[in-house]
Amino acid sequence: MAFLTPASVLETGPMNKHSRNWKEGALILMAAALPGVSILFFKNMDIANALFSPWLPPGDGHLLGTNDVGQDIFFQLISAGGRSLMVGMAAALTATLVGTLTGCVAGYYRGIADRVIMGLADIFLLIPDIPLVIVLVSFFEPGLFNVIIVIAMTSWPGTARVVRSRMLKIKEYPFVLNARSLGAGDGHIIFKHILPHTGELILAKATLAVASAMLTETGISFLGLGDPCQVTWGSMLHGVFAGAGLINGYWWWYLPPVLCISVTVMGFNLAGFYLQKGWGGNFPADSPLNRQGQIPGKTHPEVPALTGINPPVLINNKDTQTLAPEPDTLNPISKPHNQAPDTQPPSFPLDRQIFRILNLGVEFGIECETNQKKTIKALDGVNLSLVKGDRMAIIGESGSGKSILFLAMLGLLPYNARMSGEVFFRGKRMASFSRKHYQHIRAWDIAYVPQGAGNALNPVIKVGHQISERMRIHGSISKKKGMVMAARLLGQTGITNSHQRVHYYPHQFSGGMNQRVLLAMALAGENSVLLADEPTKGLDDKTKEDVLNIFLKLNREAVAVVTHDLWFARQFAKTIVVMYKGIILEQAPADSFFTAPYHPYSKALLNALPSQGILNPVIMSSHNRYAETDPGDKHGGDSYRIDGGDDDDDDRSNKKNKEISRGCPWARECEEFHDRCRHMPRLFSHNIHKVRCWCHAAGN
Amino acid sequence: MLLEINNVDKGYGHGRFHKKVCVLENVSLTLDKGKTVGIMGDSGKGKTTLGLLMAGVIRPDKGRILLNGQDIWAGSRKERDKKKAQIQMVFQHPEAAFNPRWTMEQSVREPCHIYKISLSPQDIADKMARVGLGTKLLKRYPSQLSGGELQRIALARLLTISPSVIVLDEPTSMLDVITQAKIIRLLMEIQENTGISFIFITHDRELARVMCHETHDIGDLSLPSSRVEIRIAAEEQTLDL
Repeated sequence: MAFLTPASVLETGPMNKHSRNWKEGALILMAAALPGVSILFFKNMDIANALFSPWLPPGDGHLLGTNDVGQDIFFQLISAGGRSLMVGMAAALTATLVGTLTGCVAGYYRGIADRVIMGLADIFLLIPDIPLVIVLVSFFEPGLFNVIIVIAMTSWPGTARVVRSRMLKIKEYPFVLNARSLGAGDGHIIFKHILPHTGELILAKATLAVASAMLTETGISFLGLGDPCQVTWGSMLHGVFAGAGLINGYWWWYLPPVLCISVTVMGFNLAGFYLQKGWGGNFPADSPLNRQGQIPGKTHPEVPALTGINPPVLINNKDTQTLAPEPDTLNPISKPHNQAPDTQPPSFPLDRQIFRILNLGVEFGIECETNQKKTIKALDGVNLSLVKGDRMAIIGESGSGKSILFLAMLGLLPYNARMSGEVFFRGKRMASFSRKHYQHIRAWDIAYVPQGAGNALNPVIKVGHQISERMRIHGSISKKKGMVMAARLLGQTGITNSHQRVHYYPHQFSGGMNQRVLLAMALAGENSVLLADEPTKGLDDKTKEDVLNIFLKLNREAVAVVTHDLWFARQFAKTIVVMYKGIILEQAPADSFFTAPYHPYSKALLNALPSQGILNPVIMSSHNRYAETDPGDKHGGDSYRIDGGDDDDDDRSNKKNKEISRGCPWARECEEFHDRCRHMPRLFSHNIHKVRCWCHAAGN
Repeated sequence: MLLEINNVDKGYGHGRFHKKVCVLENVSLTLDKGKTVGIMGDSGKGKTTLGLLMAGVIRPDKGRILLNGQDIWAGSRKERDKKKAQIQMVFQHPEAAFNPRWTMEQSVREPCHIYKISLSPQDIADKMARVGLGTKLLKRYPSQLSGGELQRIALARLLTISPSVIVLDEPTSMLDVITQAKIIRLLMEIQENTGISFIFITHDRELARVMCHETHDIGDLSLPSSRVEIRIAAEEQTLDL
């Protein structure tokens, strides 16, 4: 949906993420304001106007000497600083108020108000600042108040534009729509929902505005357009200029105000920069809506080590210690169910096994906004073999690592993935393959149907050419011949009038038809192995049946399908593999799986189908188990993140969550939860039905 | 007849550069108390627009939406608010439906804040219990909760003002199958206990079959004139082939 794309702004949550930038900004701000606010430390500033002998150099009772009329420069500097800062802040405050208000109105209501306000802002931005200010100030009477007004008049448009654009953005977010559907009025939405999101931006902008206002004020006063009775740093410089201090080399007269102005303006700019960086500038990219499938922060079970026996899982809770089986005697912790690659060389009949996956793990290193590196385990200790004549369906929810498994089998993992374990293809280690070998295999041996009919096809190439691409690259047939072949393949997939339609572009097809084009592409090479990623996604019931028929008619050595469509899996597959969070939970022949699934997760999955009786109360209680029964585990459940524990109770349940996360991945929601589920069970075999659950350990 | 939609039109786009596109034309629909009406259809056909119209978020160009026989857009501001509070909406993306800077408690209190109803902590705990959650989650921010939990809290938030109709705009399409089943079951429980009515917008035929007392296809409800032309053209094309 359109309003979801800029989702990065949504995830800000508590502010602590960027507190360092924020603190730095605040510190600099305080330092910058010090020359200005130092007036507060002096009770009696009359001394600033007292007269001594003129042109005294520093020292001897006068810290910074005296000026042409004999005023003490140090005290003059301090009283002038207070005034300068006051002018700057007041001007910035006025500009920010006006800018925010106009920006809000323009951004929220759009229409004529938007055009008028933004037109005005553009006009103010077009005219050069200083000349405009000079004209305006000389038009009004000189005086601090008028200076403030004039500076504010010229500096509001910047704030207005920024606020308006942020307003436009946040206005479109679903939570604003949600508030409107609750019946909230405009005032509520602007002040409660949208403005808090612009707060830090406004603050940063205001800090920068103070700096520029002080600079402008200095300029005006230096030109002699300020109030002559109220000395500011700028008018001190004006005095130096008028009193010939520069020519006579009275450095103690002009250097202090110059330094003060520079330091203060620089400080405010720097503080504004830090505030913007810390709060307003860029939002962390790790938003809940940016997460794709995998959930960062959700801990995955440990990868079983590659070699030999795994170390036992440490248990913190004393009560469960006794229940933990002895690792040496039982060796209960997840271990490759057959053999570890380095202890036993792969010895399996080469003629039957096409793919042999041993203890495959895939990790992604992700850099999050705090520059800490996180790793996400997409696959964990996967053991699988695809044999000749098999039709396998890998089922699981999104984020369970199904698609990654296919990419690993094809050697097409993204660059930031780290792979462990081994994949054997026709008895050979795939890791040892050269690039050329891989290409050859992908061309003639393994065909892959990618997911997503929407963007897996090139929009500017005719579908016929895309279908015959494989043959044209590797079989070097002509374009014309390719088209004929493509038409035949497309016809096979059930598209009528395929001779005409091969000349279409993907956008001329519906989603279901594009899905079939992808399938035809994969069929083109007559490859012996077919891997299809969600071939029925987004298809209606009728098209699904068509696709199923194509799959059933396929004459291939082996076909593996990743799907979350259980209907399709049931009709098509001989073998079912259930994955959850990158771990295989169950592997069984389709018949026995669909009649009697072993794993509680599989049971829940089957019972969750609308057609399968969503209402089955035995397995599917509507209330989360942990919400009622286990007080310590109240907010574990399907929470994405467990935050850093604000009280003892949280700490305890965090510990518990961590413990559970080392064990069975389904333990948190399992109806048959038992203490031993804190350890990862291995894949127990019951004949050919394999299940990773302690409940079925007995038969092993 | 609790909610009645009479010959409603809605289009988008106005001004000099945009041609108005009719999304809904001449739509009529009725909803009885304690019933669930499903609205099916492909994306882009105006399901969500119809939902927003029913929830009183956007105003129809033509036609009337009646709650207990009264037009929800008629009367003074106060009367309108009263009617609007009766029809609430749950959206598709649970993660996005909450202000990310508010704790859940603030979000749950929001409707009562808008309609100036007082809400005791006990009330909140009751509503949270009704959707199967503990009060502990109230201290958290949306990013710290899962989609299923957020959707439950979205429901709890609406229950605080006890509406008579809730428009559910694909409430489970972003959730996995098991969470979906739990939410659907929860919705049906709530309906049983409170006699609330639902408008259930979905593209999942199976789900609609389980959840709804009757279902309508958005294409059958609304046939804008431009779309009729396209449809005829498409039919001609298929005849050709």
